Amino acid sequence: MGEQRAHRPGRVGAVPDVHERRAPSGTASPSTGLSPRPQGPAIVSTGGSNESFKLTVKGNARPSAVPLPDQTEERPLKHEGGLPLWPPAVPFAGGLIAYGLNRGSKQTDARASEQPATEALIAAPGLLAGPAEVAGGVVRTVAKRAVVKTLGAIAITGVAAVGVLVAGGTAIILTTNYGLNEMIAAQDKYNNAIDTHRQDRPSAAGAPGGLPTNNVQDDRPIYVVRGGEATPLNLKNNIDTKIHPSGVPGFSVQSQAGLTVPQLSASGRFFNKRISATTVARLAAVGVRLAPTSGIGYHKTAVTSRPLSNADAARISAAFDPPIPNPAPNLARGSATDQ
Amino acid sequence: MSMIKILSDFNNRDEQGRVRLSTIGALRDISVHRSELREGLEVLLYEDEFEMIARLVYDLGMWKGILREETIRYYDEH
Repeated sequence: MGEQRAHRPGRVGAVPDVHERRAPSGTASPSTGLSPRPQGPAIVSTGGSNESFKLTVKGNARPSAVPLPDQTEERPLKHEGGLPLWPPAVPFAGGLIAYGLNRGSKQTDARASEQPATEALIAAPGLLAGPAEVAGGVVRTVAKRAVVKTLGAIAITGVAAVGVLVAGGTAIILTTNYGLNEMIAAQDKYNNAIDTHRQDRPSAAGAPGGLPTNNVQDDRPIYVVRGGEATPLNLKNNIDTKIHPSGVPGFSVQSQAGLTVPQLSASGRFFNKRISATTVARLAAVGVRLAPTSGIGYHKTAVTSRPLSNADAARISAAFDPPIPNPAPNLARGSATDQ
Repeated sequence: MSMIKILSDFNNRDEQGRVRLSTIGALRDISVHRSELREGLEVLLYEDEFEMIARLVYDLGMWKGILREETIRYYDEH
């Protein structure tokens, strides 16, 4: 499970701290192309789950889209964040193209009174060339300057970059983390379900000698009840080798899927004032399986080894809860005494 | 003459409610008094909390005790 959680996508903790990436002053690599460019705080917020959209503004003082004095066009693309540049670039380019279309349309309308409408239609494609070229140039500039390079981890966590708008040296990044926390919650629920199944499901190995075991049909625990206190000595003394036709040794219990501890206590007609209870899963955890055998109520035999060592007896005894008052004491004594 | 005492597991009863005297503790006590046992003999079955008189029967290769529940005696009450 831990492994699953470690690899679980969408964990906020997976977002790298950009501050840790910043080269200390004076320690930057001689190869400026491999050194991270100075930058401000992370522009990605990992805020609460109730916020469907996060609007984060990168400060005006950092014109990230403008080349720095020490930068050249030949400098290799820095992309430490690992973010593909097409997500922000595509909507950005699309926006500029739309802007160009709109402007071209207005210019066409303005000339409509002077020229035939057919000419306007012919001229419209030409109007696209300018804005598209500008948009392409900006996209290339953005790509080369690696304006956004801290969103790499977010890209793989399901957070989608909606768009990038560059205006006057200010980068406004719209991101959405809708569904991120829901995804984490779903993963936790799934992991818990796996844990629950593992705890209550007996081993597929079954009982020694190929005896049938209790099969868990659902997530509810199958209780195992025994009259009296299941001390190690009590268990050792009460091992029976003749109770099962195959001679498999074990001690007697009451157990039946779907029945509660009081119901099992009643079926066993215990004379004891106290009872001990556990579950099939907990017995299986210490190597004990249940075998159906004839007897009073829902009699079963908890199959053990024989002779039962002190260590094994102690482990099995520890699998039981501390004794509790018998919820269904055998009342036959009163009626018999009155006779 | 004192009654034969046999350590018993009252959880280990057949469909008729008879205690199976085939556990390790019971066999240990039976081995001491094997020559004295016979069907119909009343013995004292005991465990950690209480004791009870039972009548012996031999069934399916083992001794069993038919309980006289009215004779139960809890140790913490006396």
